[in-house]
Amino acid sequence: MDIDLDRLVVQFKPVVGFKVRKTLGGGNPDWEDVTNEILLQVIEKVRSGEFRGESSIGTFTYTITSRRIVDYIRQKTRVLKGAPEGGTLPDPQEQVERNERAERLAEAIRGLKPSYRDVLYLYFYKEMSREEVARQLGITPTKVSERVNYAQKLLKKLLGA
Amino acid sequence: MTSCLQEGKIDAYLMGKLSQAESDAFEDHYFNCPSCFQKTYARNELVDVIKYRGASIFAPEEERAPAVETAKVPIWKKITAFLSPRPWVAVAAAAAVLLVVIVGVVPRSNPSAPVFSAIEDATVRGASIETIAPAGAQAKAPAGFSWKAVAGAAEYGVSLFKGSELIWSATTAGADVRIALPDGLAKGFETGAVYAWQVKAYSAQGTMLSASARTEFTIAR
Repeated sequence: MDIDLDRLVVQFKPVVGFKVRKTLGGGNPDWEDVTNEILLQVIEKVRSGEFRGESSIGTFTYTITSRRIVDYIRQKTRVLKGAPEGGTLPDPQEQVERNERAERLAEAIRGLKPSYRDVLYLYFYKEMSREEVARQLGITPTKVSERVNYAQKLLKKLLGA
Repeated sequence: MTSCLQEGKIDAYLMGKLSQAESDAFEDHYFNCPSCFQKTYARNELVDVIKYRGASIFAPEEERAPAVETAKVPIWKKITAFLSPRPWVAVAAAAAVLLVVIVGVVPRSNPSAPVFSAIEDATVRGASIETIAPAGAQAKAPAGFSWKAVAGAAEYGVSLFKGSELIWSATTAGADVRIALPDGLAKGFETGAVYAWQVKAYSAQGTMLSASARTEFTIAR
């Protein structure tokens, strides 16, 4: 199977990294190592011909990602059951930057117009459905989605990212 | 960026509302769909911040403002605290008499004190907004709400309660001093039930300027 491996890494590194961080938690210092291990496994399996194209390369990568995450969690559980492990701390610089960005985003949300803040509050914080939010605010469900999407665009612009 | 039929699942996935099987299927999908992945990735930051910092982001301004105000110690308390030790009792008494004389004689030249208004369980800076209608017993369901304008307001937020339960809220388009009720809601009023509504004024920056007290009304049987 002829697959451009460089392109594969460029395409899947953010996807795998996102899934790993989402499952292990953003503060887990191992997320980057786990992500790199997964990508190496994918490359090796493609090179060795283990990937035969029976599924898409996306599904193949997803399967390897899920298995590796389960292995990592099992491994950590075993370590915890045995002797206590020293453990590595999250990168403090990365942690500080992430906190700063989150605080800037929180501040930007506070500064939004009430019509947008109300929708974000009810939809994401109170976890109401689009229809419930629409009923409460007297607007259509489509308008709810539009306001959420517009608020997101506005926040992105305010954060300059 | 093209849109995808699975996009509707992004928020449910990020908020943990999907079953395990649905969640797995959606993850498999975004590994294959760059458009859904980009949108999921972008939305995730917003969801995370609201999830972990929502309590401070959405704490109503009227709850934060009084905390700041009550933390301030009035000057007279500082003075009495300074003069309260026993050896100073006589001096304190003399100073108090002098103070009464000064306050009584010297014309008041201070600028007007800030105005505060009380709304149910909180106090907010700014005069209370005067509501116009509806109030009291109504012959039929109201078509909307109206109130008196507040200087500097760019937008008003109106909330409708049945008893103490919030059943509807909306914001005006600009600084309109009235807002219509959606048809479906207007038809759903129960006769005899006690409803209340409240209006809050916001500046162009989204800061709350003032609020009204909750105005109660009922629909005649």
